Amino acid sequence: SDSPALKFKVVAAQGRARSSRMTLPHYTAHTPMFMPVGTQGSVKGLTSAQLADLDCHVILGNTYHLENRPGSELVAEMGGLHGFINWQRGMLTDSGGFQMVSLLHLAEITEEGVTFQSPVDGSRMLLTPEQSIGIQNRLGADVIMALDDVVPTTTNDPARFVEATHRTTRWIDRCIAAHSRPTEQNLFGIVQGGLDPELRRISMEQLVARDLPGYAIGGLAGGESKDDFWRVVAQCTAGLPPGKRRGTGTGASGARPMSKPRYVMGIGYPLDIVVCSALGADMFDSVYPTRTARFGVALVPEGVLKLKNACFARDYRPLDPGCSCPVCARGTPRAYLHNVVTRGLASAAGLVTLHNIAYTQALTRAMRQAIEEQRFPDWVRGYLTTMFPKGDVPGWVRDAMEVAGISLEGVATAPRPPAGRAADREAAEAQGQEGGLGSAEDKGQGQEGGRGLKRAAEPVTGSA
Amino acid sequence: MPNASILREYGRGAHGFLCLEGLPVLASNRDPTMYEFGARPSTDKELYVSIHSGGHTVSPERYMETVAALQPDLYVTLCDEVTADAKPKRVAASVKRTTAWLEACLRLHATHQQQPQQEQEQQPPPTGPQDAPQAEPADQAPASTSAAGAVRNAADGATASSGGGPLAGSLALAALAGGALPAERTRAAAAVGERDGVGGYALCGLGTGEAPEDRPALIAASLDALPGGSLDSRPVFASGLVSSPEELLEAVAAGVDLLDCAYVAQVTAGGYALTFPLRPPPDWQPAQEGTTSAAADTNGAAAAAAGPAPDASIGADDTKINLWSTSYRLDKGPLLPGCGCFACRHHTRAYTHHLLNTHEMLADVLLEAHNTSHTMAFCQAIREAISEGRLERYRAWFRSLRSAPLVAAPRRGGTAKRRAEGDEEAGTEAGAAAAAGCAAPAGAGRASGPAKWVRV
Ligand SMILES: [Zn+2]
Ligand SMILES: [Zn+2]
Repeated sequence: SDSPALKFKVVAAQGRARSSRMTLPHYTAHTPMFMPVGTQGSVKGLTSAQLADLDCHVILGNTYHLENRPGSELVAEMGGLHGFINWQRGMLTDSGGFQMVSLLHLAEITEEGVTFQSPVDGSRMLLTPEQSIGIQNRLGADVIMALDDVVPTTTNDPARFVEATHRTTRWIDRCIAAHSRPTEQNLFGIVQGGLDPELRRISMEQLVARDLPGYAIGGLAGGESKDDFWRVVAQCTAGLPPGKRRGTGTGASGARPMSKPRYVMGIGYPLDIVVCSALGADMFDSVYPTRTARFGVALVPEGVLKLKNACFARDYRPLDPGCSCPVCARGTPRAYLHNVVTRGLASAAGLVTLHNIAYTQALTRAMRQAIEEQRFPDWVRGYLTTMFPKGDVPGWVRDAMEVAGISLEGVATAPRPPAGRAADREAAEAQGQEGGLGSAEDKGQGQEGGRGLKRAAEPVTGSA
Repeated sequence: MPNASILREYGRGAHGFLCLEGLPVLASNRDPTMYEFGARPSTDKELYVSIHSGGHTVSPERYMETVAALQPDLYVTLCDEVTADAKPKRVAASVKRTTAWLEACLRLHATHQQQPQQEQEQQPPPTGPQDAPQAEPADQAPASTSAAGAVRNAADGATASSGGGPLAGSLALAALAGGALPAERTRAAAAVGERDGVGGYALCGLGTGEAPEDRPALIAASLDALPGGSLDSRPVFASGLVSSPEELLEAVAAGVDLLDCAYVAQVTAGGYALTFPLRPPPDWQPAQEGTTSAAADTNGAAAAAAGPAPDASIGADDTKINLWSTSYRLDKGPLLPGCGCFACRHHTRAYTHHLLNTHEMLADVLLEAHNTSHTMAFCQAIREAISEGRLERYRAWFRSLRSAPLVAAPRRGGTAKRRAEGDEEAGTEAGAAAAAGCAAPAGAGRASGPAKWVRV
């Protein structure tokens, strides 16, 4: 990349999957990478030292929440987010717009920006691309996100998607113009276009023309079917600047565009992370691992353990014998975790959170290693066999792996399970989600809900 | 904690279940942060307790079943606790019951000492590496491994001849009842005496409303009634009686060796960080040499030595600061300058204030790390003063620090309860306090006496 604040180097590729080093001002992150969400400057009870011990490379902060409390001016005075929370590795902040649209009543998108009602005094507020970038410049994260016009994929209004796609492009130009720290912070653009391949193509073309340091695939993880989800990811990872290793076709002089990081927003289910990585995505974020931990759900290679289940009352094994997190390494019995989880103790949430973050980091680490050792397809097959021992790999995973060039022969042995929303909901249940895909809290880009803020039943999508 | 049958089946006791291998575990009869007294009367046969899972009746048999399943290093025998305002008749009944229950507990202790634990032999559960990193910040790890050793040594000594049962290595701390009536405390302690199987003592019913200044006399009423020399080889534990550092120091001076973490939990729940100094400056002199009573009379010079008066308007007093105060919004300093704990080494007051303000769990984690560390360091300083024979001087210095009358930290029902839910209390019967993490072994208790905890 030719961004002064980001060097992206693909060190190995196999099929569409790639393992890369992304050198940011504060840290050299390895991708594929999962980024835990520290909504208000803290990842749910974990210290920054623990996050480093768990091998986290980049963590997220939520601009909307941080601007509410403690405010970006104060954060800037305290040495930026890095100094304020004492996290010396990579950080990424979102634009704040999505949270307003999803969390606040009466949020509305106009050409000017996102207007919303202040939760404090009810007054009318406006977040423009310029303001979003200004706040993020003060917060000082390594990666900042453009304010985009995000429309839930479930919206039944094709014209709205057309408008949002082009507005997102107009706004990226305002973001670029407002960005005051381009040598210290990387502005990522966000590809929009809903589920329409043509709109996605246009969005990518317009954003890639701006030659940004990195690109996000937005508007997903918002309740669309898994079939729709993976196809958009596949289209965008193929359409964004290529990820060929240096010396294998990409001239370093730049006859073809340089490789850029690809970030799928709101992705946190381990299976989704694996599928997206196989399709060539590099970065993921979601509150899923930390949020599900608070419901007593532990991530394991076989799927999830719902620790509230009575079957764990006398299960004295650790969560995952193969896990090296402090909870598993000390042999903490599942029976103990069952006991504290069923009683809703905060300490229980902390222990499961620790394990779940360790799990996602180990998962991406294993993928990187497999890619670098050129055995990624085998690794994927092993992963799916463990998760679907009966061979009932979901149809959308089979389709995605075919596009990724990974044969599932001997793995997807059972007849293809029925596709569609019901199957997706079932899959979400299996991931330990309380309300399945329909739950408002799991919608969109997987952002942490605002405490005490009213949540719109349906995300407001603005009017004509 | 789950019911005793699960722990028994598990077979590795509280150490294994709570991942506290290598640390001494004390099973207390009471969780001072949430115990509710007298919701319903107990009987001579059973104690009535009200906890998170509702009301339960606990017989000595059920109690000792649970203790045996926990396999603690130390435990308190079953006690019919009463609050400080209990009527004399009620206190007398509690003493009678507690004495009878001690008899029953010791008898059952002997049984559980001998009984081999079948389940343990049949189903050895998986063992994890014991030196693995802790989930908590490292500074919450016990500061004193020698305390662990002392407990083990004491336990070994008391039970060296007993065979392989779950309580083979456990030390029974006889409950000393008597409420706030010195005569009843004396009577109760005399009845306990040095009977066989008593490995130590637990001062029960304190911290339930009695005036802190009356407490040393109540402790003395219990301990002085014990046969001479019985404390030379037996530790004294007290639960929940501290709501200020002075009270901790005075309890130690009165003869208490082990205290639980109630104080740390209480200040942490209020958003406080402990900031009181731990050691007198080298040149410190009491206001009037010689008499200890004069030192309590804080004069101007001594108060001045404590530095500027704390700003009560932001929730501070001589011993602590309140991180909820907006005055810390931009404070880049650590909770306590010079403190070497995890929280102080890594994070600022401003960050802690923000975490409290946004109700992030990490606020409690950082404050608890600091407050635990500071309290452990306080105990270390007290141990040094005792072993160097200058406890009286240390007490005089500590009293001189107060520029204002002692103000107890406000007890917040809601937050105290919330905190309590984070503790590990043992089902209906026993609160398993991790002695290393929570209790504060003072090493030697009696102000002027030689170091205790030496097995004779
Ligand atoms: Zn683990
Ligand atoms: Zn500290």
